[in-house]
Amino acid sequence: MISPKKPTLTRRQMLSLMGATGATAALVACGATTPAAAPTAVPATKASEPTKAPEATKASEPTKAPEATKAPEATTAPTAAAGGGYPADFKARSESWKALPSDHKKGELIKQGDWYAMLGKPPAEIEAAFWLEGWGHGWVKDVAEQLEKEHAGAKVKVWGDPRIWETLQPRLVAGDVPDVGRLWISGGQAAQIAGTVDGVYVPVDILLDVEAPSQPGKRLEEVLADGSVKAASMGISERQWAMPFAQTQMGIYYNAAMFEKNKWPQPDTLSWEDFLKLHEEIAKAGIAPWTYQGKYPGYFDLVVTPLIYKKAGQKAMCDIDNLVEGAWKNPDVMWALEQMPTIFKSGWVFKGAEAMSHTEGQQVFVDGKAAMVPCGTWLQREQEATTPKDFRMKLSSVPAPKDGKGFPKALANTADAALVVGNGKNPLWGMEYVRWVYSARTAKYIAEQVGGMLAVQEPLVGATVNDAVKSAVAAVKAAEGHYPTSYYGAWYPDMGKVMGDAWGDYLWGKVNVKDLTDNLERAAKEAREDSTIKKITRTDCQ
Amino acid sequence: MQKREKWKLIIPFVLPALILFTVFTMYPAVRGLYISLFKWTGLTQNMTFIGLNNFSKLWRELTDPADFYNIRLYLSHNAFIFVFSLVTIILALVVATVINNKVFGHKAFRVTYFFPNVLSVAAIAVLWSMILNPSFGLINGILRSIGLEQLALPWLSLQYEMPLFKLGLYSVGFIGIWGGLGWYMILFLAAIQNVPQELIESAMLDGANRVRMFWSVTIPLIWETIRTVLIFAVIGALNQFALVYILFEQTPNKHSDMIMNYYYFQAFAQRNWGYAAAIVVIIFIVTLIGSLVSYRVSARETVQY
Repeated sequence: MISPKKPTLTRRQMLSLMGATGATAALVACGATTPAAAPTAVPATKASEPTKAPEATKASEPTKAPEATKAPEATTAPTAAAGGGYPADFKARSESWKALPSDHKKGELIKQGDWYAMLGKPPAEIEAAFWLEGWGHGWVKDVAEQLEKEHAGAKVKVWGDPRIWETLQPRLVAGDVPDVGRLWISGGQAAQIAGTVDGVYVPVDILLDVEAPSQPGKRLEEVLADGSVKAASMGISERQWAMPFAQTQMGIYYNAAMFEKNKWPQPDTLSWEDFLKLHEEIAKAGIAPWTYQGKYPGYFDLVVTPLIYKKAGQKAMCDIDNLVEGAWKNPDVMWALEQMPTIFKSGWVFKGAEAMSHTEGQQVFVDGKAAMVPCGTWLQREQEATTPKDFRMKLSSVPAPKDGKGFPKALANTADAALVVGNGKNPLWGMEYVRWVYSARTAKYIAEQVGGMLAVQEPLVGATVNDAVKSAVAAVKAAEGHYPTSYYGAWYPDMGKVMGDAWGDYLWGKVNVKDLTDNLERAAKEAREDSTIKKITRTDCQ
Repeated sequence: MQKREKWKLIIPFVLPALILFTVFTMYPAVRGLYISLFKWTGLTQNMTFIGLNNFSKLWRELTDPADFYNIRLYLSHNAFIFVFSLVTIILALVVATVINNKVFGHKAFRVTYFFPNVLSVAAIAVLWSMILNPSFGLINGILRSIGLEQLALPWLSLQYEMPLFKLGLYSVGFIGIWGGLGWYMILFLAAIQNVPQELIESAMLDGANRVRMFWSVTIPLIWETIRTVLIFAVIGALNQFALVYILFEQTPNKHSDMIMNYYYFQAFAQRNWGYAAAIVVIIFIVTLIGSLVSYRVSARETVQY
């Protein structure tokens, strides 16, 4: 990033010269150097990202992606001959790709033994490069251990850091890609799609048909959580570029003890209209109804997107993603967008929260100073160290408006496009690593040690879990497979930027919904008319 | 012949630095210009030539009134920080003069004022984010303990309205004063100490008071340093990045972002490396113009007594 550079010269003339020429020239160098004494001194640092920044919620049905799904050309002189491996039109960098059967039929089980034959001998080292975040690296190492135990002589090198995308970028450009990992590219789903187009990853379709570990006779896809494979597809239906990792449920976390004590009902048992009345009651009790991750106002998307869906229905969500003219001007969409500024203007948000970091904002919640916070299942682990022992939190989906067109108990539930296999030296062994992620042992590890849910059918078998996890499971059950999803931000980053930029001002009512939707319509029009932008069509519109 | 001999001596000394400068400064600079003509994700070597499209997009962004958050806003933040830099310069000049007069405890003051310069900007940002924290911060704690609850503001809020900008940006400006004062002070102090003592004495004999001496003797003689510091201020203001990046948790926070933060956002979040490079080219041009203007505006004959 920025390299610290402080002048040691003190002669005035030298400083003049340096200031006028060298420094300004250095600025052009991608802004990578900083000259001399800025009033606030110079060097930059690493700092940790929020454990999981919320993106627009994903999941739901598959989408048709005719153009963006074109198989990428290998970027630096592919060594494998075209036609070898599955899918045959993909040119992997590694010769080992050819070991995959080019005549494989999708959905046909590949027995573990046959798979091992394709894998061949383990390479000297399998490189697993994982973003180091709130989940820690314990599970990554545990999976490595399982793989090493299964394959004599295999050795997995696990590494990662909180800003792995920066460490890796020069390597990706040079074509030196790790074998397996997570979040190599910063910038959300749009950037991951760029990664597929630029040939950073290999398609992992075949892996879905390989026999699941510890579940003989079952294809891997069959043991994965419903909808999770599609959720990890980033809306691209022709090719699977990433595999799901954890199921993450998002919505409204509420203070269970406080609600029980005051006899306040769980939010999603109320209509949205009655939910607003509940705000008044909470405020009357001297408690702020909401706190939030102030410096990251976009967390409220976890409320807004489900609310748009519940009020306006699936077709409206589709229209937005399909860049249909006037989609943002749909009265139901605008009604849903009006709700958050109403909450903010009514003073129902903890005073000063807007100046807090995500953890500080969430701390207000676990300290019992606010009744609710918008967040996902990572919350309890993120605040674990500072949560009072007797504190109980529960997850609720977003309350549905009385005359809504969407499924009332729908829940923001995603298994993000998390695990990727690199187009590097050992893509098959990268896949083998991913296969072991879905073992019963990993599921138990993640449930107990990390407090999460692996994206498998039975994520909690044999594990002891707390109220928060139980409430998330109940919310998933109640949602009956209805997971509100929004893709426009990932497919059309400039459009996502309009919403992303506006979050803070929008919530506080400083950018009104009319102006906001005007701007979104403008961005949608630009995307529609720009022939250099590949369009993706969403088809799950009913 | 003699000239050639001279170069034989000079070249071995200059060459290593020249090579380093070319490789690490000039090449990336020219490369930045080149990249600005492409659409590039920065992930592989696939780059699509799009001519000046990035610049025309920049122009649209700059001139489109319907686009709320854009380069206009970010550059206005930079300009606002520059105003704080000017305040810093004036304060530094005053402090340097006072310390030069060897007031009681001047050594301690000198060290104290310079102290922030030994801290990294990351440490400064974290330190101040603690001090200014709305709920457990030092400042609000003190204000509450002395009964001034109503003055306990959310200092890092980017929603709290103040004239022209949000409160959070004012806090950035004040931290800038705190962090930059010492450095400018040292520059001024060194310059003031180079003012010949005999000139001061003769001014005293002529009956000039301290203020008069400061305006008529000190200022003209340290003018070159003031010009240099002004250029630093221009570059520093345009180059703001790390402090707001850390203070406001790295997210694109439209009411605190500087132009460099926008560049970073386009490159690393939006993966528009071509567009990001175009932004940097513009920053280069603005910085160059800003530096030249401040150099020209402050130009006057060098005074020698």
